[in-house]
Amino acid sequence: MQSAQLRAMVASAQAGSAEAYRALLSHYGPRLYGYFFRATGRHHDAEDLLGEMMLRLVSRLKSYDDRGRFEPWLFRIAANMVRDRIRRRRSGPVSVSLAGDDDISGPLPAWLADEGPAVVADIETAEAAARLQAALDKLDEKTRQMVLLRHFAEMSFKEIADVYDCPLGTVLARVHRGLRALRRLMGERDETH
Amino acid sequence: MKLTERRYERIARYLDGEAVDLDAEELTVARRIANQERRLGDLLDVRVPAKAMASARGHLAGGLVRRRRAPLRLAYYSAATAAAAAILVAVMHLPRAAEKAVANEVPTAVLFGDDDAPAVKAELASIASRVGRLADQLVVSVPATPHEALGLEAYPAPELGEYQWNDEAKDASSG
Repeated sequence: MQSAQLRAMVASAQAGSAEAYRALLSHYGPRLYGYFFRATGRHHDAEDLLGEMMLRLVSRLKSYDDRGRFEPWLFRIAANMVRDRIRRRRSGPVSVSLAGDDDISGPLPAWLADEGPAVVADIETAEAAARLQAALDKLDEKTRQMVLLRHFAEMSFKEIADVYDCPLGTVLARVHRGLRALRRLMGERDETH
Repeated sequence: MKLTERRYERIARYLDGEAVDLDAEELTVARRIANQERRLGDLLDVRVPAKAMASARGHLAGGLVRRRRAPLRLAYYSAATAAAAAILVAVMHLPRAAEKAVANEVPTAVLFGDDDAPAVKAELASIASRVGRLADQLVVSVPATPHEALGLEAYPAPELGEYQWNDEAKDASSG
């Protein structure tokens, strides 16, 4: 989406247009869902967080200052929600889904898949996705968030440094180490060694 | 390949689109990171379940309805708070106001026994004059008989012969 078009949509939503809010959901919903799913590893959590995110969007959009980019603002909220969810999960009781689909890392079955334009890359296989999710889960939380925000929020290293209030060089060092670890954990050859 | 924080920062700025003159080693790392991110990105994307989007649309609609009602809710709570505050203020100040009102009804001069005050003298004279006029009217308009006072016609006087228990009639008959 063009930035001017996005700005107009955000401004329209800020003015209270329900249509503009729905357009924002259509545009960012898949990316937010993907981010939530990869960050938590559970479709149930991702769905729950996406719904909660919409409520926060409605209540907080007025505070968005359009001098900055919209994605970092949006995904900063999402990142905080993920952090809270993971903390709650660690401190709360462990839940086990009888349906067995809570921690599935693979592609969704066809009956669950959206009929709209596909977001997922066709090359993703259940096995590779499972390995990827397992590898992501092994990264420390901050590194995992940084890697995911780079992809889903399309945030620059500078923007991530602002979110985590740490030096720019540290962000890239973490991302670099995270990417190398992911490749290693997924069984790919590390080009640096 | 070990990189210092400073060199990572230069690479990060380069990857963010800034014009940074990287050396060969830094450039290699930058390209490798960009390549790894691209390949990982292909794996990271997931399909969004239709029900997740439907649920999000439901949450959005609910949030928008709640936001529309928020000003009404705010007005309701504000009015209720203002009314409660007004009642509280009234309850706190009513006894004092009543005391003041009673005090204001009685002239200060009378309260303190200052009957030489000109205003009191004038008031007393006025009252005395009105009382005098009313007394004169009472004296002038005193009815001659009780039935006149009641506005009734007088009954004819009874025949003395018929009622012997009248003392005067008894005396007359005995005399």
